[in-house]
Amino acid sequence: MTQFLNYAVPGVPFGCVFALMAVGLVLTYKASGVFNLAFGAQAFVSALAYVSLDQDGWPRWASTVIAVLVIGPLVGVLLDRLLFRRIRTASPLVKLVPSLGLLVALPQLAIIIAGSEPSIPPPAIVGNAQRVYLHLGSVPLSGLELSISAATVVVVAGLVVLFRFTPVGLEMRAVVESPRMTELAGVNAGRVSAFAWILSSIMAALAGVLLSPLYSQLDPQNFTVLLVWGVAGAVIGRFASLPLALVGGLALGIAQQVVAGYMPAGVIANGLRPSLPFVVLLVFLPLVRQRQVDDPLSSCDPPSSASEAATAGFRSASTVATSGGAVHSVGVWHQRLEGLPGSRMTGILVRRPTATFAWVVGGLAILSALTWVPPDWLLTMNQGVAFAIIFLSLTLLTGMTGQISLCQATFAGLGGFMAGQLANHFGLPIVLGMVAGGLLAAGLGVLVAIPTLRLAGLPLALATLAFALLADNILFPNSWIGNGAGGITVPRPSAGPVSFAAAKPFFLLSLVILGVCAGVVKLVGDGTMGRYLSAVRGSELAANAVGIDVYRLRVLVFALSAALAGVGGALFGSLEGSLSANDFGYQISAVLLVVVAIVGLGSIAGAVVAGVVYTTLQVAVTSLPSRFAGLVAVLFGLATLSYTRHPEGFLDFLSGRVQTAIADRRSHRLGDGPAEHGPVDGGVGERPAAAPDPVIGGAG
Amino acid sequence: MSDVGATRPLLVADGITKQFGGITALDHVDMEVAAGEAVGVVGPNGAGKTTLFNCLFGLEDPDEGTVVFDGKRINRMPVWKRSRLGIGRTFQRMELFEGMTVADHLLVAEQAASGTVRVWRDFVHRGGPTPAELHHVEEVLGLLGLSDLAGRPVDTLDLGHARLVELGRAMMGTPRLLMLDEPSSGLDSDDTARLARILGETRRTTGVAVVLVEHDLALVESTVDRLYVLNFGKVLASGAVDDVLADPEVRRAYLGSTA
Amino acid sequence: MTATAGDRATVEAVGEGQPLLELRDVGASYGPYEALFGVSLTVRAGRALALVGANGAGKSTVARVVSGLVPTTRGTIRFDGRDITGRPAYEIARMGLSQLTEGRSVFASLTVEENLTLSFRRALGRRGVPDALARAYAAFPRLGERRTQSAGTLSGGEQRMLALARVLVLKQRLLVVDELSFGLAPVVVDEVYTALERVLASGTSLLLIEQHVDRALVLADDVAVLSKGRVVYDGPVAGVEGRLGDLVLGRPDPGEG
Repeated sequence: MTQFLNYAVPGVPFGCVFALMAVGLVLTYKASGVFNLAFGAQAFVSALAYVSLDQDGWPRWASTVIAVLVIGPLVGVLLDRLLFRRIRTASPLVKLVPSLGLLVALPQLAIIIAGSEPSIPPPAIVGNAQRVYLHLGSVPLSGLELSISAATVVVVAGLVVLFRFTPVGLEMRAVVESPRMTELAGVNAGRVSAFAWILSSIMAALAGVLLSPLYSQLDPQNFTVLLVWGVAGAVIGRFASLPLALVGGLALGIAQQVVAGYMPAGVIANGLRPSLPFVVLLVFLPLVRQRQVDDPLSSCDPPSSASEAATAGFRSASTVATSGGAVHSVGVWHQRLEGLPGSRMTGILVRRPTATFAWVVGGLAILSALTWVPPDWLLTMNQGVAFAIIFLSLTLLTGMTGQISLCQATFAGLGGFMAGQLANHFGLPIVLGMVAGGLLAAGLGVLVAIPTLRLAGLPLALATLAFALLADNILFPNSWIGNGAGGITVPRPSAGPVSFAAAKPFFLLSLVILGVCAGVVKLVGDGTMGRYLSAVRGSELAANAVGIDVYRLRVLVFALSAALAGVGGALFGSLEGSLSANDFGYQISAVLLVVVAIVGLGSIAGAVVAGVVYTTLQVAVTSLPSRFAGLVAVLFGLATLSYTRHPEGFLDFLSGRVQTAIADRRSHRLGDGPAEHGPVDGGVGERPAAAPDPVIGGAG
Repeated sequence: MSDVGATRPLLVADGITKQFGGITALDHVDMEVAAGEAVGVVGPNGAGKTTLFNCLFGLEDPDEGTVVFDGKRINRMPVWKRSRLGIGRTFQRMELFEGMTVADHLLVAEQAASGTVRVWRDFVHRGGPTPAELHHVEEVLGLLGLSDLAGRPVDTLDLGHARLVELGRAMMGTPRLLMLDEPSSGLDSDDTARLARILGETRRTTGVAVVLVEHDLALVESTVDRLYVLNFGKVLASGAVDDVLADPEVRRAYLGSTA
Repeated sequence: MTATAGDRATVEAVGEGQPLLELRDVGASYGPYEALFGVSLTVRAGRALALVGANGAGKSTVARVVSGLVPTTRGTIRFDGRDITGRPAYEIARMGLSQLTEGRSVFASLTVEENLTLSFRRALGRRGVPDALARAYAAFPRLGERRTQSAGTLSGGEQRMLALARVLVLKQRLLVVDELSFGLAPVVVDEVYTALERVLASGTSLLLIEQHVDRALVLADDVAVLSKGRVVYDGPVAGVEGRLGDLVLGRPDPGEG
């Protein structure tokens, strides 16, 4: 028992902090419908403010008050006003990408503003962190543990009082059940949920400030880990119950210490602790019910955001983009339809002049790479090609299915390590190793997908995030996989007498591999599978109803996507000559998703451009002072704010603009009105998207 | 119009019971549909019509009772499998594949019904249909009078045509049973009349059986051979349309005693 | 008709029998799915209007448009002499317009007393709550017995009583009732209708949305028939005697275009 206490008591402060995070996450989710992954970043910002103020000589109580009660809510309210309020009814992808962007960008932005990361250990908010004040049995209790526990108890007690005995608490509980019904009772639900935001932001800030002394220095990564623990707690509370989330967070904090204590030291024990959230997610996610079920007025919302999903997703041959009544492209096979004369089709089939432009630019780039470009530029371009393949895996998964994966970098790393290990230990040619790496990633992809893919959207994203953490902690440190930070070497390929070791041949080989991968994506996108996926994106229910096994289809696509990421990772390793766990940590996955979502998930070109942009910016930033190391993350993170307005990505946005301009000019020249794609048949009424003209039904 | 004769029943629902948290939505409902027969299901709001539909189609699992389709017990069979067995369905609140064209709606249903892996065929046909699939798509487009709209994205159709696309999608892969959930909801009388005409023609040319949940009695009367009336989760009456509608108990439950 | 307490103690612009709620050419849609095509109807102060029509005719949408839950795409709505088109739901509620939604219309996770307190505190202030609670329990003693029970554990009939108690005590100007009998056994429906009569007698006007036409007509002074998102009849009950069933079911009727 004493031994158990010895392990359990140090877990209590962790549990308290996890619990605060979990409760805050559930609170905002229930009150505003947003699962705020930027929560971890909010915690970091407040912690940084606290430590910075403390170092500047402010009294500790003042630092605490400013960090927790001023900066915390301020950041929260800004996020709510500028961002989350606008995307309340958006699709999971559109909701998740900006909060991920903020999770990555906010800490870096704060560091840039603050000047540098404080390196001395942060102090506890009351008392001396290290001093032992009293003993529980024989277990010593330090000032740190006492202050964290005390602060949490005070906050929780305050919450209970607020919820049970105050008007706003009552209103908040009502909003949590049904915002619309609350409005019918004469309560301004918007204001109540804004209050919930403030409250939960305070909790994030407090969690951050309390947590900071537990680590020797402030590192944004620790706060992402904190977020994942909080997410696990929220999942135990099924995204719905505040008390359960509280208990869940507390239990997790204690459990992780106990698990670590009883296990023999070593990789397994070190790995088991961080993998606990993943296990919890796998066990508890299936119990989570969809949010709207309990709200009797949920049907007041517009039916679904299918049109948004269609614009944000991959533009396969069977998905037709319409803007302002103009149809951009129709799959080639339509020309073979009998009832549809070719002359009519030509009006619909608009060639994309931007595509020609893209081919020319791509060709020139390749030509330059092989002739005059200096070696370090060529390396960057080659990195871009490798990352383009990894981005393609997201184009396939997220663009075509709308599923969100936060472990694509993990798959890339696994592919690279597999290829390298096979080459080093068994002498397997590296190109074959890439295939093997892809297969391994696909296999693991299936393992991840099977339990989690039934839950589309947010739960899948969380499960993949937890998997990435698990891989970082258990798989990558192993000497027979990633060998930790030391990494492994990955050779360059040679095929008999032909060696690809030199930069230019390797670049050509990379292009061929990219071409093959792009071909696979195109075949999937334009073929039957792409048509199925378009259908699933339009309506999962109806897709099932026409005989599509949606679940199997998703597992298949997830595996294929993992395989692509694996191949890309292997190619990257071979290019660099070595690969370490740091190259493909879990935070990279978030950045990758954010980058490709901003550039465009709608096309293969989007993935290629994303690869080039990503690597180029990485290189560019190395020329800046170290303070700006996180600038790329900040740029992409903040760019997600514009993403909510243009979920099709900036590439499609631009080419759409160009296309419209060209079409306008053409129709001007012909003397037509702008509506050159008007009704095909005079007997059919157009249904304008916005105009409330009662075109349906003439008789009455 | 009944050409049921001695054919064995296509769909048999036996003692279907479904409860939602203490409320009995369906209480031992029996139903039978013969091959090629059209059956209507009517009843007041909350009588359990949609729940019955969902139990038959696999969107809900009944607590009790069995569903047999074509001599095969299909309880607990997933929706997509039932679809491949030959059950097509439309939805009251339309479920179209936004962004896809009319022709693609039909093609995707036709291809999904076969349920085969098609990497090679995709490669050969550049992702398009095989000649046989193309032919069937054209056939159904013609039957529904949608040929001219084949290349139109469904988002630009009016509701009447959109409902026809849903019907057409359900007809692909040659189903033996069509389940139509309030197909006239949101349509004006002209559109409804056209729907009734097309339904009749479809039945004549394909011999497909139909289960129709509908509030528009005019459409029901012109389409179905037999009628079931549900009330409080139970079958209140069933039989020939005129007989059932003349039943005083039915009039009271369904219309109120006004008429 | 008496002026109500709290922040709604405004001058009553509308007298008995005058138009209290007016919809003029109101359209509404759920996303791309149009539900109403120009609905016009009038509820007179102190009277009850029954809105009848087949399933999918748009009745519930009318209720939601009136209470501000679903935005209009065109037309105007006037309530109590003021234009309320486009106003948020909570403002409309504070003007004295209550709605009983189809199915559950109470907060299942809150207790009976909390359900009542939620609206009472807003309308009457902290001091007014105990008195209002007492009146609610006096009107419906069964609620008093279950005051600490969570509303989700109440029977369907009791849940309707709870919602009605709120309306009765606050003396609302207008109550919109959406499918009161939905999911209730006939005996319970009778009981709830008796309570509804008390609400009407206390001076609250009613907009009754009901599929059980005969039930609604017992209480209603006027009737509006909705078919496919349009009003095909609006006027006194006597005007449709005999052909209401046909109107509701959308059967061809020579009298209407």
